[in-house]
Amino acid sequence: MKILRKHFRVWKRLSALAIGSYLSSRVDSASYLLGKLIRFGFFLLLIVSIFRFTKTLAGYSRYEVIFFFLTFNLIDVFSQAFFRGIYQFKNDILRGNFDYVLSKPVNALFYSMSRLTDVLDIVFLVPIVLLIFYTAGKLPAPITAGAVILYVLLLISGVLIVLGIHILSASITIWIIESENVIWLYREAMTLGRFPPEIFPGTVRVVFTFVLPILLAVAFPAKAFLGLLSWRWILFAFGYTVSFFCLSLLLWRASLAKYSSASS
Amino acid sequence: MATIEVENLSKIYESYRKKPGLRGSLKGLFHRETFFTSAVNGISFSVSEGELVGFLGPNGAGKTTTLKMLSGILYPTSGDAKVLGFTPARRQREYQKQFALVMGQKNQLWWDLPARESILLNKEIYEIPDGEFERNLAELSDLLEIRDILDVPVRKLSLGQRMKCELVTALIHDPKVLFLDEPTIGLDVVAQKNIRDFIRRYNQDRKTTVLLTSHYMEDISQLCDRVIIIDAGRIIFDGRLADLIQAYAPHKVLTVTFADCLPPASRLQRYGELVETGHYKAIIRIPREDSKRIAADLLNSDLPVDDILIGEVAVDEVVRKIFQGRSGTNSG
Repeated sequence: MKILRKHFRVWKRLSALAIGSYLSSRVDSASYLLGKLIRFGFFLLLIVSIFRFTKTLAGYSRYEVIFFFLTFNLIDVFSQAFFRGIYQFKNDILRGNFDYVLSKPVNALFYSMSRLTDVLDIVFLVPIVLLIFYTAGKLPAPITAGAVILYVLLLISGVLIVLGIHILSASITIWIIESENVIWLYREAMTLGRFPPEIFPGTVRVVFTFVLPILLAVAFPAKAFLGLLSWRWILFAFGYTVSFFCLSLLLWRASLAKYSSASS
Repeated sequence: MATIEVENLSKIYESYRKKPGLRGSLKGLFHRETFFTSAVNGISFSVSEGELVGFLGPNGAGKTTTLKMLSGILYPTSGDAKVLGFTPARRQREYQKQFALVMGQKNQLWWDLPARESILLNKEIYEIPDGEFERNLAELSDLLEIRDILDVPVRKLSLGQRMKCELVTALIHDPKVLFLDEPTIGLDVVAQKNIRDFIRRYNQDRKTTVLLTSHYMEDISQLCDRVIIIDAGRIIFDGRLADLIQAYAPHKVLTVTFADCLPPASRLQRYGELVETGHYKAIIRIPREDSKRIAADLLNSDLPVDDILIGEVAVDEVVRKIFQGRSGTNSG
């Protein structure tokens, strides 16, 4: 408990530093937030436009498709907000800043992930959550307590998978310094989750459910909320998440033993 | 018990070699040539509590790698290291709270923000109580005279000011052991002296054990009684600076000042090797064991000697000769 309290205090301080950095470049920060809003707005508009020409998409109604899109955004923006440090990880290694992290009494993985908490993305989470409430109210089926609990649990499971992918990316960066692109591979693959999985061919669904479990992370919570996920798949999702997350931690530990530090 | 104990410590780096050009890059996708570099090769030494030891060696000698192994950043390939009774590679929190690492070529300060912010972050990381934090910050910032720059964004500070802030940030938790890797690199002579003065005072006041690496001989000769010289991953000397000179400099230097013009070189060369001459001054290198006798001979001669000074060969010259000799041996 003491360790958790300490790490929460460190996180608060890191976030304060990140806010300080953002405020020192206000124009950049405002442009960044505006860019995100435009991208988000245009995609929402695209979905609405598609439904001007069709009643369903892969069997889903307009608000169901929007619900998938919002759930994807919730997990994506959450991970962008809280695990942003990973995008600086290769730089940290090359510049030797990670040496300092490793020499301090703080969890190196926690520090590296959260050292750049993105406050702008946290702000962006607010309208996403509000839109999820609004869209859920527009869905044809009634909302049950069980569906809400499952949705929340699978959201947590999804965040853990995304966190696991970030940890894997960091581990590979330590093993092979040139591997900055692993995290960008994830970023590109993640966009798959903006639509219901049924619009993609079966092979794509299999790869992005079992190999790089993007669909498991972002599509499963929405499907469970809509009552379209069997218990077998729900149990599989939780089991897979735990295994995947533990594997990523094991690889992280192994990579730290291999760490060779940048030359001075 | 020694504060730092190192026994047969070795580190071998594994790297990959890529052939040049596009063809080499394509080949590298499927097959990369692995090669191993021995950075530290079975070194052993110990450092007592409160000692300030200089770690000296050319680039790539293994100094920084040793400091990184002692800080727990790198896993040793073989051998043992113990600092304050802890094995650094285990990265235990209890150990990490008791040492500090400062690297002159890297920084831990947040670039866009004032140094105070980074120091406050370390307060949380090292779990320093408020009272102790305020006391340490006041003492360190007074010693380094940086009270007025703590709230200026780091990017606006000079290199010397930044290094002072780095030191405060690293030392805010009052460590028992301090690893300093090239702390004066790139600084002007005044800033170098300020940092040196601080390190000396800090070591004396707090009895902190300090291991210092530097390229500047001045740092080592001004601060350290004891020096460890490392070359190609092996320790080639470990002892007092004075003993280093005794061991590697069989000569002393005689600086002779004349009341009149300089006598002919042929007359001076009878006493030893003439190194340098001026209008009224000559520097003669003489065998160590004969230094007193030769000085007396000079005074008793008919030469117009005004003053004689017997001195040691400069430490940097000794060290340079050691490395030149070894590189000759290695390449041969």
